[in-house]
Amino acid sequence: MITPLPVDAPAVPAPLVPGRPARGYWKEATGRLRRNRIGVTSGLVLLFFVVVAVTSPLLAAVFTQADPRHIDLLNTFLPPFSPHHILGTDDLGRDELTRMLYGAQVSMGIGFLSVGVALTIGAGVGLLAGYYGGLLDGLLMRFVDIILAVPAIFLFILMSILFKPNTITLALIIASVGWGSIARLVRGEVLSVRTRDFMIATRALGASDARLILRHLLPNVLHVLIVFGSLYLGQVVLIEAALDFLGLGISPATPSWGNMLTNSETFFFHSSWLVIWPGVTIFVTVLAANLFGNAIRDAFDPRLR
Amino acid sequence: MLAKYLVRRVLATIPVVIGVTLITFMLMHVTAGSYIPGIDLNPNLKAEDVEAIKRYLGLDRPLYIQYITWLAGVGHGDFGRSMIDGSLVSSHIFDRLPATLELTITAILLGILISIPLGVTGALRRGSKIDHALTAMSVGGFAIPAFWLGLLLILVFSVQLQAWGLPFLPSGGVTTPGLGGGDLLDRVVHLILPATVLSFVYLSIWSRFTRSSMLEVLSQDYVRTARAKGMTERRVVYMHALRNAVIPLVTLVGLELPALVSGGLVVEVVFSWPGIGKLLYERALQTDYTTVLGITTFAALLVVAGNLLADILYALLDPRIRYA
Amino acid sequence: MSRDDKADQGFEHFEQFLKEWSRRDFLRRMGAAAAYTAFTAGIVDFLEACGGGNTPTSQTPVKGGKLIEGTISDISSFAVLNSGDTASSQMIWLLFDGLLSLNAKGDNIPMMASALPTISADQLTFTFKLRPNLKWSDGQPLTADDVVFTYNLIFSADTKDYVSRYRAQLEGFLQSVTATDPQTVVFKFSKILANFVDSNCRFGILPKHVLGNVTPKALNTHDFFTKGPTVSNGVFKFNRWDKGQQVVLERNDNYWAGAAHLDQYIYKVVTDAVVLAQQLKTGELDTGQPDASQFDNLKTVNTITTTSFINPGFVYYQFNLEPTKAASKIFGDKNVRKALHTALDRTAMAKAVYFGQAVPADSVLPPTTWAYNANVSPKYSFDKAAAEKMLDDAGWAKGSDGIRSKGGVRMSFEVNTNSGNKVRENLIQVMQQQWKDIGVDAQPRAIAFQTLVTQIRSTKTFQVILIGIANQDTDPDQTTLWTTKGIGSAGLNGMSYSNPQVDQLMDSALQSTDRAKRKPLYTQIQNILADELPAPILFYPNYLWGINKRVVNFNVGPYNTYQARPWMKDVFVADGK
Repeated sequence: MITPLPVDAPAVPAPLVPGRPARGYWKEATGRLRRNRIGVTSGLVLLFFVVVAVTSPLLAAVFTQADPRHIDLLNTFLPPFSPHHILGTDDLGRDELTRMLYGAQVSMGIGFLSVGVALTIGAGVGLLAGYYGGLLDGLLMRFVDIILAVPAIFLFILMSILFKPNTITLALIIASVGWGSIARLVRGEVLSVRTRDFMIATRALGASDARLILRHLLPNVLHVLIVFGSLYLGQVVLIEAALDFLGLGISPATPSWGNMLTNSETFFFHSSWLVIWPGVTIFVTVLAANLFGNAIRDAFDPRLR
Repeated sequence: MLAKYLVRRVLATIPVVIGVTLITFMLMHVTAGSYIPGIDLNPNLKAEDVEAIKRYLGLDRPLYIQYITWLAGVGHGDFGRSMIDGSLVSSHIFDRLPATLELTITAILLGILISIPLGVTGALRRGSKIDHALTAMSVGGFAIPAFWLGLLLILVFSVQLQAWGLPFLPSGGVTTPGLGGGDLLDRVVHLILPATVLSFVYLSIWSRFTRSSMLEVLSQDYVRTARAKGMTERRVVYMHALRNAVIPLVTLVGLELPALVSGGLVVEVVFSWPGIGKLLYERALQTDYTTVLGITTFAALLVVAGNLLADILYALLDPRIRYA
Repeated sequence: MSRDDKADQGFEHFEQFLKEWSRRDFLRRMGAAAAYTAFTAGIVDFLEACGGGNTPTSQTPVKGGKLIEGTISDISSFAVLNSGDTASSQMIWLLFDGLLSLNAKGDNIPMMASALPTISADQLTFTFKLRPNLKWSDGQPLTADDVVFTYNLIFSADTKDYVSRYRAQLEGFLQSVTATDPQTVVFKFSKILANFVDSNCRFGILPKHVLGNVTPKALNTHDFFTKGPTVSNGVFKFNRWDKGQQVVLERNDNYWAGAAHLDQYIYKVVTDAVVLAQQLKTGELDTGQPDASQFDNLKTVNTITTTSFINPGFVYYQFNLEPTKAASKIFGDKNVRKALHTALDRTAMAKAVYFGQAVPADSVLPPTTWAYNANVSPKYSFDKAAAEKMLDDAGWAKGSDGIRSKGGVRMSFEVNTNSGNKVRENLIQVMQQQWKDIGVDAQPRAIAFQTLVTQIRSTKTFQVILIGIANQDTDPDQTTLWTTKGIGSAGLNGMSYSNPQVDQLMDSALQSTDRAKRKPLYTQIQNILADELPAPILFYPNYLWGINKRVVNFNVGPYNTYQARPWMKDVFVADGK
């Protein structure tokens, strides 16, 4: 989402400091971020989900003492606030709260793993292509073109059919399409940064390629990565849900918010809470990811650099 | 300079085409190499017959020759045959493409038609309650899974309306079945729900973009000049600002065009819309790898062609780009 | 050769059915709460009471209008003699009649033939007399020549280039088909084919005057089969096929039993059984098979009649009994198999997973066939304590982790079923839970359908597979499933179960066309298999139908859901629209 550009922004260029990017710049940015209430709230929401995802087995042990796979055919479709089942049970009698907790692990896990892999590969490719230019750039970008030419959803379906994915492979499948856009984005940033004076100066001082890339280029493109990462996180959660809807995602035995949503669709009329829990959670997570990404983009607005 | 740029651009497309076809070919070989199109039709095939068919289809030739045959076929519009019933993938594509295009193009048009007023309103009434509401809507809209929205709309506008005895929207298909249906009104009515769902995704982004684009334009010098000259606000907005604000939107819309064929897959599945996405999905469930890969190749090449076309158009329109 | 042919035939049933069981497809076949209670009352009685859709009324038929039936899969072709999926088969049956057909209960009834065939004393010659004045939809007369043409395409050596999946059923048995006069067809066999009348007399007859001059090879891709038949002899004739959307058929005024009341029949494609239920509610569909989870809800809709009846097939799970495979160390002991089956609460499963729309099964033959043994013994009811005791007695003691083991072998294995099928994926999870309760560690894993098939036919590295079987007719032969001949790539005996007694019984049962002689043999077979349990049968699922009240005489039953619907001509819509 593009944020509104302030109409009367002062056109003050940042001081060109050789060596590291201006410390002040980062401090400024985080300060701006802190003052953005929506950004902070969404960041906290995301953090909350991350914590839940990481500690879900512990939380489940403490709060529900139930196994997410424990089937109880005699207690199917219990409504919320039933004894022992605060959020109710699903069509096979499994406890909803426990499944939501474990589902967090799966959905967030896929999200972060996917984003992490895509960012790493994409940033790597983008940095190299942008920095070295020439033949390497040409080759890498052609490769990116190829990846980006194939419609993502077709590729996901194909790969899901080839090898029925578990959590990790699904994350990798999703990442395999995402890194392309990141690579292009990073490359673009690199191209605009590498001609700056400080780069030339540092080079003249004898800094090696690796040093230039890692200590000087990378921090300057970091904000792009964070923004994209946040937005992409939301997208991955939605993609995972869509793949579950198509029957090609995580198999229903392992709970994920996406497949919980899909499996409860048929019971919408008589047990709508089964649809609401995962549906709302997905919505809130993606919303938080989007808003947070937006807030970061605002904070690091290039106009104020 | 222009000619040089164009030539370079076209040349750059070649490795991409080769890359895409190579990848799909390798995947086909890995997944379906040992399958013979239509073998399921005849479970009584003996080993010699299998070998004969393999020879007839050229499956015993060295890999690179098979690839070149595949490539040549693609050049002629032959995207292979189904593994399951031997039917031509290209005939399937031909049958289903109009339905997909009908859906995605309508969705894009709908998206444009709605995002412009939404974006302009947001920009003009910046900071007001309406603006916040519209912002919330588009930000929220971006967070809803498309399939869920589709199912929800079906529940409300199809099932529920009918339960209350009101005229309701159809929940699937292109036309009302039978010899009667098929007229324009019928097709439009069937298009409403799926196109709305599909356009929702575009809406969220485009309305925000229009808004910020409008804001930027409104802050430009020439707008200030026009105002200073005494032009009515109305004229300023609608005759000058709007036109310029919308142009960048065209860029964004252009970005969606390559996805014209594939973008509607989930919506097609939800609404039983007989398009290419649904076809790919159905065939994938039957593990008909060759059809899936054939369609993917087709879509990918379309994307490449679309990008090339877009780049050429921009080069023709915008002199700055030629030096990229 | 003969047994392999039977194996192929059986596998075609299997293959056909399995192919259908994609995620959404399976959901159509689930059954009713009524059937489940009827299990205790007596299945056969239930069948008599409720073998079809709306009961025939004395209402005056209204001429005109259309019927829209919902389907989850689109048809793939009109290959009358080579259809591999149920959707295509259904259209073909509406367009083409054969010599005979089946009524709802599975009895043979004459269609193009005027009566059931006369069989010679040596059971090698079958004579059919055709009805007089049969016509094709284009007005041409339908004669014995057309029948001869059709059957020659299937089995004759001259037409080998034409592919028909029914070839294996007749090749090696059928010697000749001749038309002794325009109304009489004589089939001569070289060997007794016990199920000729039951399984091979329903094929649609093809028009010789349209297809007679086409080479067999060219027939495989002829437009008649791939785009739509220009001429037919059934209740309807072809109008158009909008791929992925619908097939439109219209009334055939030259139909031998009289013109149908309906103007059109439309087969409309919808996404899945849940959407189908919705469209039944909104009236976008007149008839269709809704998902079990929506069935109870549909019962409350006052514009729809719901009906359910047993599906003549079953859902079962098979143990890998091959002596060289590790799984047989666990499952080789009959008592272990009995214990595992006793530990399953199938009543609760039917209620939860099928929403009550399935009947727990005890026999390897469904209750809809004449060979069914209602008193099959032993029967298995849910008894967790007994199951535990059986395992204890068999030497499988519980370890510290709660899982049993014996002689260093842990009772831990994988249960597979085909992915994308929600009901089955749920079933294997429930089985995991119920077996866990008695100290058995079962890991559910859904895999691609193709892989399952390969496992059953050749690889055999599985431990337990859950799958289903469908039956097109009442023919009780199950050579492919339970005999030694069924092991391997031609059959369905993935268990590698080999019992000489069963082999011999199955064989003997095919030596005669007389049902009275065959029945006691099948009774024995059912009892042996119930005792040995190489592959315990779980359920007979139900067919579920929702029929709009404006549709009258839509008499679907167990044997004419995807097949011939001889009653189709009597269907009409009350409002004529």
